[in-house]
Amino acid sequence: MDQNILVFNFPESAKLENAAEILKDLKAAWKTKKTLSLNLGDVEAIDLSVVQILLSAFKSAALQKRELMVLDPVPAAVFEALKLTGFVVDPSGGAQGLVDAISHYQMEGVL
Amino acid sequence: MKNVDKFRDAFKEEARELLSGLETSLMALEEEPDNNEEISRTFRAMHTIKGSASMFGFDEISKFTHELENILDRVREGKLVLTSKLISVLLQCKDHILELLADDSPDDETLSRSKELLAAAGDASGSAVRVPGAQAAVVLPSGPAGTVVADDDEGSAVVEPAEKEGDWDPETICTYRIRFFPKKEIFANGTKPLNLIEELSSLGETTIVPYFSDLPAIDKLDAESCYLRWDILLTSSKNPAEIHEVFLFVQDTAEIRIERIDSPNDSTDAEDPRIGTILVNRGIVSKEDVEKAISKQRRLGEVLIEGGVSRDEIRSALLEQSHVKRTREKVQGDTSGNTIRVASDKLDSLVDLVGELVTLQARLLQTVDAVSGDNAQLIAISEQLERLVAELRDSTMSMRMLPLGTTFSRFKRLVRDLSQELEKDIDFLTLGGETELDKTIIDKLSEPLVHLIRNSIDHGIEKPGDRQRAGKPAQGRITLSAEHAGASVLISIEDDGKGLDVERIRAKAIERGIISAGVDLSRNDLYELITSPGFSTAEQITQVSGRGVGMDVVKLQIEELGGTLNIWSEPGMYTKFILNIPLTLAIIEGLLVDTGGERFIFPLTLIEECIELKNEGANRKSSEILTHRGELLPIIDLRQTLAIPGSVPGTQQVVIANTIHGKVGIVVDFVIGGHQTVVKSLGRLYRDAEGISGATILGDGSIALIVDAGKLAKMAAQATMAEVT
Repeated sequence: MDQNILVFNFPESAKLENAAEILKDLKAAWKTKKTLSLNLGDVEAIDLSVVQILLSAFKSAALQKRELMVLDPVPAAVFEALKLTGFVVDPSGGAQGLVDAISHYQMEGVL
Repeated sequence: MKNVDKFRDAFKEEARELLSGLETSLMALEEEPDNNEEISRTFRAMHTIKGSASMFGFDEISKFTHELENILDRVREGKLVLTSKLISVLLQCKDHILELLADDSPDDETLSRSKELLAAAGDASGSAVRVPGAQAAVVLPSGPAGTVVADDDEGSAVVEPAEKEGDWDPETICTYRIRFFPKKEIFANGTKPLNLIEELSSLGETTIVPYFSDLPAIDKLDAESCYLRWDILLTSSKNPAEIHEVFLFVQDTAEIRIERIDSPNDSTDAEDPRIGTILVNRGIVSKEDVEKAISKQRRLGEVLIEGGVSRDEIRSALLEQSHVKRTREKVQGDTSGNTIRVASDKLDSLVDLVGELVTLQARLLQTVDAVSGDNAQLIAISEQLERLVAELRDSTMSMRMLPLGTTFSRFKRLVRDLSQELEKDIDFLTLGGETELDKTIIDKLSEPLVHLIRNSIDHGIEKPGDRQRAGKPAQGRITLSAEHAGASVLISIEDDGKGLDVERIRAKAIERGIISAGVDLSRNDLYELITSPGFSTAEQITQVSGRGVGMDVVKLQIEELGGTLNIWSEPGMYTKFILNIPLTLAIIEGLLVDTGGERFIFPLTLIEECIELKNEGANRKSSEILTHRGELLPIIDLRQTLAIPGSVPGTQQVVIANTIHGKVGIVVDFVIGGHQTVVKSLGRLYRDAEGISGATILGDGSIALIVDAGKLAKMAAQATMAEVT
């Protein structure tokens, strides 16, 4: 594994109960200045509070021109939560599809 | 019929088609459970039915399919495996949805069946499925719910909560713009905004438009604050009060505004909404702002963003435009498509009218021949009309043609269910599903085909152990195939089972008094005995293939369609039923002939050629053999066969027909020529007339009988065989 890449693991239950802790850990990881690679593979349940953290991370990456990666696989629960959020993304595209969709929203200037 | 009834009917028809496709996909998945394309297809079918059912007010179907959609979603995600048991339950659920479609007000028994099936689906999928109505009751605070209170100047109707609910037609379909702007602290009381959006989505077709603009960068983010806001476009038959109920517990923690923005079924002539109008309706900009922006001759959105309108608002307006357009098309039917739906009785009526026109045109032609003399103009008009009528006839008939495959898919399910019930392993193969037949014939063919396939499963294919002992593969095969053969379609059902037992058939026929003990019959004639009335016995009729319908009824049903049934079999190897069915029952091209002053019609597609026959004084037998083009051709005399009186002319003509029973030459007095023939039934009285399959009315009002050339060929072959032996 590249030393400059830090994998950030989201827990199985990515919900409001854990949101503060997830955010705290992510902020800490963010400060390392390493390239972050988000691993959502273990997520079984995710709610809006953590979806916001995920989207905010991408917003920050765009603002700071930092690279942010997403690892495959991205569980269906994540795509389902994004769909309900109104985020249009095709689950069959996996992690790359998710990153591309976020880039699209950023190019539109809405994220 | 009210407009909305038409849409509901259109939904039912679409749902039936989707269910038919769903059944096909489920059975394909039974053979190939990992076929992602089929899995997606089943999910999409269920999802579409659910969404449309909700939109058109079929609440029970919507609830029922919502649960099934969840199961299929889990299959799609790879969390569930489609086992045979789950497929069986899903197939039963599909049948149940059909029942729900047929019943606008399902009774308690039907509703209870819904619960049973969902429970079975939950069981089969290895997890509990939430059964609607079974959860703990939630008592909602009493009080008036929201409704539409006023139409504003721009055509939007603002829905205010807590206003008195007015009369609401439950069949009204509306599109609502729902502004759901949660306060930052909404998470604090345990509210889950995505659950509310999910609940809203279950009410109809939605477009969810998020506003991300308040979402801060990660260093400013508070995990317990809500930053996202939404506009949700919902098209639904639900009334505003029901929509408002979704937000009942968040009125203090969110800004909720529900506006009715469109009535898709009342907007048939309305233009699709423009972005400018949407933004004005939303109160984002004024009409003057829009006009000023348009005058700059640049993209409206860009100009307005430069003027301070947020990108989120522009994006939301664009998505609203697209949602309204899409739902209008869906509700009104896609008028831009290349196909339209027409009720089959309207087509039947058109065919009847064309039939009348064909008859009248023949009469005109005959009259013109008799009176016009050398009036070239009148003759030209008559000939032009003849061509047009022929084209109109062909076009009309082609509209009623449907591929047989639509029926074939039903039989796959039949084979699947019955083979499981009888513990037989059967591979069902269909070929030629694209072969087209008149819709009326397809409808009437269904019952005899079901019976023949049931027979093949029940009596033909052996159990796996028996097959292996006979040196065959454990899995049996039934092949259903169709192909065109001239003006007919040949449909065959072949099984690789034990074949027909001629000795048992002979013994049974003697026992039943169908034949005498000493009669010597060919093997094929013996096979045909199973279609004799009274051949079916209580001993034979099982719960599966019996159903109180014998093979004699099957044969009769096929003959009523102007078709024939032939049986081929080899003991221990196969049994094959071949149905020869005419393409259409309505109008055919015929060859008009005369014998003894009576007119007859031959279906032209069976005719190979006509040759002259010189009579040399001696009386000819009703049937004999002629050598023609180096082949022996059995001939049959129409005059003698039908006992037509009158003297035989010195020169006659032989019409050579190629039928399923072989070639035959039919002797007639003279050939008149081609004739468009509107086929009329002979009625019950003449149904058994040998060699005649129908009648038609000629231009002069007289009647011509339509010759059943196949039957005559069979009679000629039998007579020849009798003579030889």
